[in-house]
Amino acid sequence: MKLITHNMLTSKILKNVVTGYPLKIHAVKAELKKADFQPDFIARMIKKIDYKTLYQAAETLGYAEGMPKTEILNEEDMNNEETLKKLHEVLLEIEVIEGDLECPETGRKFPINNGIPNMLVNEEEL
Amino acid sequence: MNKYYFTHGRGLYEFAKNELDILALSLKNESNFSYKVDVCDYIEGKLLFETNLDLKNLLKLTTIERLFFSIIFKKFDNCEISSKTILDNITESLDLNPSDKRFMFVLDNYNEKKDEILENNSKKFRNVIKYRIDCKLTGKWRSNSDLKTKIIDCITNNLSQHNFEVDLSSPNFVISCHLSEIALVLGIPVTNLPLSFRNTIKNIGLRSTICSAMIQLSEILENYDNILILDPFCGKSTILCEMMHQYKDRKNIFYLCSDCDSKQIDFSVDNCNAIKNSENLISDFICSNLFKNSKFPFKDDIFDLIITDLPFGKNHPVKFFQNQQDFYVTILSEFNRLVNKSKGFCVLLVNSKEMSILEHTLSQKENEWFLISKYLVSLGETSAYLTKISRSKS
Repeated sequence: MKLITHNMLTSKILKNVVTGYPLKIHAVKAELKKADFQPDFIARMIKKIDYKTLYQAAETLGYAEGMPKTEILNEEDMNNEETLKKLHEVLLEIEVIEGDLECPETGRKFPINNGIPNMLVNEEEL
Repeated sequence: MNKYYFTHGRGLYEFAKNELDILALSLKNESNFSYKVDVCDYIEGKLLFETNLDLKNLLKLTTIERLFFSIIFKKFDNCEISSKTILDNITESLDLNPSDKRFMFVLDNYNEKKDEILENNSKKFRNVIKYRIDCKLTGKWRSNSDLKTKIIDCITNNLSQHNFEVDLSSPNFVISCHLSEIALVLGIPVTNLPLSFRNTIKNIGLRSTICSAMIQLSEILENYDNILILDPFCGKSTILCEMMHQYKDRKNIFYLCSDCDSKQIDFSVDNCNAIKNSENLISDFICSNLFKNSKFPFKDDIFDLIITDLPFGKNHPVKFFQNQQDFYVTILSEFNRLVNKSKGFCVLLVNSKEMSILEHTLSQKENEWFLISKYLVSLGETSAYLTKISRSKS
């Protein structure tokens, strides 16, 4: 699971959960897999994501150093190549291989095995 | 200008023709050379065209089945054509010159052991070139085995003059002949395997030509704003793989695949890992399911495009739904929540038996989607509609 995917995931599917976001990451194993850096792509992508959540996720995994410590990125950050490179690494290169995602409201855990988050739910949980 | 014809799967005519035009246009833009494609004739499933595009580029076509050098492409004006006229036609047109450059290219592409064969071109002319004839008679000619034998003899006699020899087991090329009530078509397939066979995709879920037509319908190539794509019923992710296969230079896409079956996700990961240059498209996978009126585990309003082969038949997630109607109501509502409100849309492959359910669901008051286009395509044993839905009618 890449952190861009984590940024989109919620546990709002579960009964009585109001926002279910962001899911807490408990990583047992994470890896860095190199991907081509595309500044335009990152600059546009960053507008679509929740930066605060991305920062927290990176911090949990020990990769936040070098990221702007802010809630929302400003124009200057988005034009800074070094920042974009860092965001590229955090969004697309870090992969959580083993661990789980935890619903912030109910504590329900969704396992991550072989890099695939298992978000399957039972009908009783809805 | 050379004449070729291609065969295509049922329902893919528009897509194949369009792809050919786009190819000519894009090469023209790249090189400033005036590439032309003129459509000469069409019979169901086969399109004859004339072009100055080279074969290397024509082999890039992704929505066609096979590409042939055209030797004869003759439509019959009246059905009362005689066997003699047919044989005369073959004799008149079958002028296959082994020094023809196009023909050399066939040998080059057709043979797995091409290096061995092409090691020395001059040597090749001294060698016998082996071929096989695939002759198919349909319609009223179907059981006319006498005519079939005559056609084969006629071709063989003509080719024996050029040092060509029939070899059924390991031919260097094949002559394909199809006689139907409406036409006589004779050509040489340019490649040994159909173009639709992509050896880059390890575990095939959906036909590559159908995937390619879906990608064409999604206009991903033309629209650089589409960067977040979801396939919520990805199966073996053949659509994603097809995209990786085609758009090696296109990098600004993040493609998320989801399926309720973890085994299918394993196939997906395996497929993606098997494609070289897979870093060109960034993808990720999750396992998730959907019940009646439930939700996918994603935030609202994030995807630019949903592209998917909707499950049906034995693959239908019936265990999660009472009936298909519930399924369509739930997914349309979910797609509405997930897809970018301003310009997002969905490209769906819908089983032909379920198209009426989709259209009925689209006609309901609470639905916000409009049907933009639908194309009936063949999936082999079943058929399906390639469908585009959007929230504005244009």
